[in-house]
Amino acid sequence: MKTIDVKGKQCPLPLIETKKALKETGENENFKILIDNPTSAKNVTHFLNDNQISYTENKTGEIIEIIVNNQGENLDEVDETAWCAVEITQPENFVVLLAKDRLGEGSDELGEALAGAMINTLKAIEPLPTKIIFMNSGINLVVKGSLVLDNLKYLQDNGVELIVCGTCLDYFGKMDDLVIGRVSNMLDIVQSMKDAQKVLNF
Amino acid sequence: MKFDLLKLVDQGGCSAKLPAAELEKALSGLPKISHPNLLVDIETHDDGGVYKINDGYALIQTTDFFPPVCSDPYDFGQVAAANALSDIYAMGGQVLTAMNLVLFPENQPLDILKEILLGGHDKVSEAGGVMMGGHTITDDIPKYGLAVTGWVHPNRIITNDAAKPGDVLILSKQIGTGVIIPAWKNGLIDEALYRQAVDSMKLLNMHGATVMQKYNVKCATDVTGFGLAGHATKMAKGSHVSMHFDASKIPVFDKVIDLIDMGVIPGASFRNKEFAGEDCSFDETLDYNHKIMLFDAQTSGGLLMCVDKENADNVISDLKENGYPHSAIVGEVREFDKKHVYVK
Repeated sequence: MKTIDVKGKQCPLPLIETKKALKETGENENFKILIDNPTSAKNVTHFLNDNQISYTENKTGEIIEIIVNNQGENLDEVDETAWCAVEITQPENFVVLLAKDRLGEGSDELGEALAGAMINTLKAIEPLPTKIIFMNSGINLVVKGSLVLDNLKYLQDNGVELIVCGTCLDYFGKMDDLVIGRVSNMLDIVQSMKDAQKVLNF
Repeated sequence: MKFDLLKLVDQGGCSAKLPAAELEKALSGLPKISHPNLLVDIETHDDGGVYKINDGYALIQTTDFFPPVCSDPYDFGQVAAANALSDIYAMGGQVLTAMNLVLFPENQPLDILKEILLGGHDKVSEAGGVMMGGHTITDDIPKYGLAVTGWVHPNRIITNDAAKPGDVLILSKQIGTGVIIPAWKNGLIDEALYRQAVDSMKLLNMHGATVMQKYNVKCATDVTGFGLAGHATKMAKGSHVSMHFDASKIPVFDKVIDLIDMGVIPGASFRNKEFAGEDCSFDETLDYNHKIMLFDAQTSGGLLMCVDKENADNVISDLKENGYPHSAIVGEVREFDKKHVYVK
């Protein structure tokens, strides 16, 4: 297999060499590109993705090996409708919505204990949720008298954003009792849920 | 041997800007700021913030800095300063004061630093502004820019969210600097073309702002790191309109399309396309190279203005007379329909 070694070469030279190889290599012939910096490798794979050229990517130590399957497509005739469908890779993220101060129906006492256990367990989830949203009676978890304040403090200290529905605090007359979390509005809450990859709803 | 600043930059050709999508995520959790005197805040990602002092006077504040984009230190100082000052002009203002922001390697000759600062000083003077000082810290890769204060009448602020259907889109400089710089660094173009790009990056948008005010332009932005299509998308989104561009009318430096075809595509172009691509619709006759060109990150690019139709020809001729010979009508604004940017 033909090998293009662009180790030590900076962007955009690796892409220039790749494009040259695509034009020179025969149909259904594979070729290999060796790159030693992730930025240049990303440039090459971006281009290949954009133009729907199939490839496999392997990393051995510092060296990134990209094997391109050249289908002999004329680059000018590549289907461009995929233009707008470029996948944006996002780090895994989820938010937790707590719209009640207990879990499930049945026994209130059990429900409260379960809510406490759930928040305690969240600490062990990897990665942590990006946000926890407290609505309706869920706000009882962030005000004076809540039994889970220590665990919430731990989560907040580790980067979890605690968002508390301001309208709900008002309604229950507990605005002054808020111990932890940021008072916010429905726009912020809806936006947070929309932006999340997953919402855990208890 | 002549000193080449670009040799100090290991990311050359792959822009230094944080991807817009990532940046948006980082900013999304910050508390919202509101103040009765704050006329333009960070909400619309405008070029600078505007703070009203009184009914006749508002301050514009902005900052920008980056690693070398050209070989000669004096050129770099001028380009970085022109780029930072540009945000004031994009909002229709004029420059009052500036402060240097400098990161410089410990082990490099201080003459180089002096040249960079002189470049910055000269551009601030040309802008009619006063250099007030600055701050320097050490860093392996030099970086330079300015924090700038300008002013504008509160009723004359030009924003990036006031485009109206019927407006004509005018661009005052050529695009393609993001391709030209790495091409030069890798010996793929001759010096004449490189000089054209550097001269364009050094050119202040000051007279462009004056022309905009003369014709009462209300919406504009300067085309920089997000590329023409990226900035157009932001402006169209903020204004709830669709912008329709004619790719063949967009002024672009010589050889840029050929260079893109060779593979001179900086990483920033891909990132910009990822960020704004979904808001854009491209005519099927437009080839890949032209699309990539529209996402080319510009340094100290021109002004993209939304101009009343009846003034468009006058704006173009005024711009040409005032040092922007490549100014062109590149499209028009229409009612919003499905996508924010259309290119044919």
